[in-house]
Amino acid sequence: MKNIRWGGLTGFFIITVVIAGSFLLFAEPLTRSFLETQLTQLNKAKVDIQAVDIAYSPFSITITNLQATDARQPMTNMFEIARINFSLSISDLIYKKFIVDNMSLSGIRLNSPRKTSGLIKSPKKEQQQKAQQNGFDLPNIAFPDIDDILSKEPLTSEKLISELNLDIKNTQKNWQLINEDISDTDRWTRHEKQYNQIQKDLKGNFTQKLQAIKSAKKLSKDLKAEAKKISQARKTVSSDLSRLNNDFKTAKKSPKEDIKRIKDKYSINKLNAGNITELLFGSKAAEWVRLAQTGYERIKPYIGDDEKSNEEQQEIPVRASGKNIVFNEYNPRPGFYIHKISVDAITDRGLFTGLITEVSSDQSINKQPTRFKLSGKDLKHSEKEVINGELNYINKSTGFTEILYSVTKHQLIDYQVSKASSLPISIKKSYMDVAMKLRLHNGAVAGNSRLDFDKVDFNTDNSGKVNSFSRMLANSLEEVNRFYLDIKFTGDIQKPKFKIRSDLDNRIGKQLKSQLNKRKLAFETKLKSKIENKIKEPMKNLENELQQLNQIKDKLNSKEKELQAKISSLKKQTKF
Amino acid sequence: MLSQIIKFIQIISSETAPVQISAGIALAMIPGFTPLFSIHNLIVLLVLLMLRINIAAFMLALALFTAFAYLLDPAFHSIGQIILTQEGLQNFWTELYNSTFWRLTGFNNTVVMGSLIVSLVALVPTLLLGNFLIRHYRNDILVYLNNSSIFKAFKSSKLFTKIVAAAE
Repeated sequence: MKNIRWGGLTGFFIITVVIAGSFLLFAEPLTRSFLETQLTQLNKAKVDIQAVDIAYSPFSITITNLQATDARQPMTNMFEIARINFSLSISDLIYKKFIVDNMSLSGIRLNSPRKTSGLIKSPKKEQQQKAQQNGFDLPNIAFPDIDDILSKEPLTSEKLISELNLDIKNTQKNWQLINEDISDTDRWTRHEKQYNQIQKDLKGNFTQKLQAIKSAKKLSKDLKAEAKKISQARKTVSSDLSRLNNDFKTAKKSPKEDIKRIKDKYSINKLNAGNITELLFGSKAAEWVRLAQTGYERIKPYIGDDEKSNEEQQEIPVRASGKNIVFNEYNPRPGFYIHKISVDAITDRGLFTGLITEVSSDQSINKQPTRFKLSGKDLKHSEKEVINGELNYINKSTGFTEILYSVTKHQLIDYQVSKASSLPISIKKSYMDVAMKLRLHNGAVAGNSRLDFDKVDFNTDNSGKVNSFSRMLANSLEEVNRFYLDIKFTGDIQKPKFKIRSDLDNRIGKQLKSQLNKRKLAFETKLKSKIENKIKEPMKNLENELQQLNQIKDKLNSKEKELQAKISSLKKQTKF
Repeated sequence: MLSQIIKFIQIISSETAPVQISAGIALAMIPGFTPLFSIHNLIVLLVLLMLRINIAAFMLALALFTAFAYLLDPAFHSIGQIILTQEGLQNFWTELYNSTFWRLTGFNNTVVMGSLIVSLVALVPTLLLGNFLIRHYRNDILVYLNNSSIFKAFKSSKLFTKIVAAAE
């Protein structure tokens, strides 16, 4: 017994009691601080807790006034919960498991203002830019001024006419010799005289006949040489004329090419009314998609991403902290599990109540999907609003999140559809029913949303600087009092593709398209007429020039025929 | 560092029983090598305070072993991994894993297991070796030094007084 230090033993117990007492004394502020730190890290913006009360028999925790900052709006709480109460098993906590049978969340408020900023890091510029994107660009269907176009656009037809003109001039020069040759009256008269003399001599005495035959042979030889020359000239002339005629035909067709080119250059064909629904609600739908993405990003840390959770399960051994080897548990439980959460939330739309069941960090252990259903009745602007869904990750590879959302008779008042400067559009008043189904699987989204608008009163301000399309659209919209939107989402949750369909296309789109087509046709006709007028005179000149050339060709033909006839006649007459 | 060495020389040169000093050194190996905030270290603290073990020797050795632990952690991790993944021991570890108390000890951590096993295995040899060395130091080295004229001169010098004062 002399080796035992009784003072030391007493000291040990005193130290133990002091440590345990201090822990109990500071358990509440320590828990509060721990929760604030952990939740702030998870939320990526400050999470404040007013107080944490711990009761030890039975062991339960009550959290008062939890405020979670919206990371994108540091002066606004994403949500605020007035009271959270749940009981815990201490033995489960030793196993590092947070197991709760019943939890109640009461006094939830969404988007409540904060007194101090809850920012822990500046929001990404990209997100700010995204948030600023709004409105749409209405197509500007103002047609360009034709005179202005023709004054600055070189026309292919004019170029072709000028080239052809030059070509004709050169051809005419080349044909000058031919023309002069066939117009050499002395020579042709000489040949004619000789021919006539031969005819006369052939009817004379023997000597005269002999002389005629001799002269006929000589003349025949000369005429053959002339015919050969004329034949060659005719071939040249025919080939030149054929080329010039082809070029003339091309020049004649060239206004069509000019019209096509100008229409392409000034995108006349691309001017269209497009998909009116996408035009009007495309940017709004994109905004809704961004809202859904934001919502998804917010719940992602809580629902867990398959790949990420797999990565997280693979612990990396750190030199100083080692690696925790996991053995089989006799009664396996997820690290985080809440059997049932009853919720009442006060939103700016009214009171929502509901249940969330089977919240688990690893559904493959408790084999139950998380389900939720929140509904609001007799709300401020709606008759009924229900959101329910299922987060099923029991089998991680086939896991999915499904959300169903419906709103009955939601009253829209001064709802901005477009802030576009070309035509700001808002719905002054309308009733809207929404039915939405969304399914997320492996980072991909698939879903559709049907929005029925009734008793719609569009407000279009077309008094400002609006283009003709905007004016047409504004007038058409004012006549619409009922329509639907059908939005389909598919693809990657980060970049979803969406298709919007609506009866607005039938109602407004056809009318706009028909008006637009009429205007396109009028533009084309006017352009054609202007171009044709512009080239009318040069074309007429060309035609005249070509006619003259044709006359030369005709002259050559007739001359050649005449010579051939004479040659043939001489041949017959001198045949003995 | 110098003061630590002087303190250690003072302890081993004092009248304290060698076993009390060597027990302090050996015991310090457990919290020194293993992660400090572990349940088993409460038992070590109880033993330290309850039994007549030299606390100063324990504190000095704790600092020394803690420094060594940083170098030895990879080895502890490997040893712990080998022990915890032994086929034949799986049922035993599973049984402990399903016990609330043993889960609190963090036995399934490779560094905790490896360092605890190493320090427990080395506990008795360290105690015996320490005991032997202190006795040998006191009976042979210290006697020789006390009789040495150079050491006597050094002990009476101002430098020695200053060093002792600095250490205290």
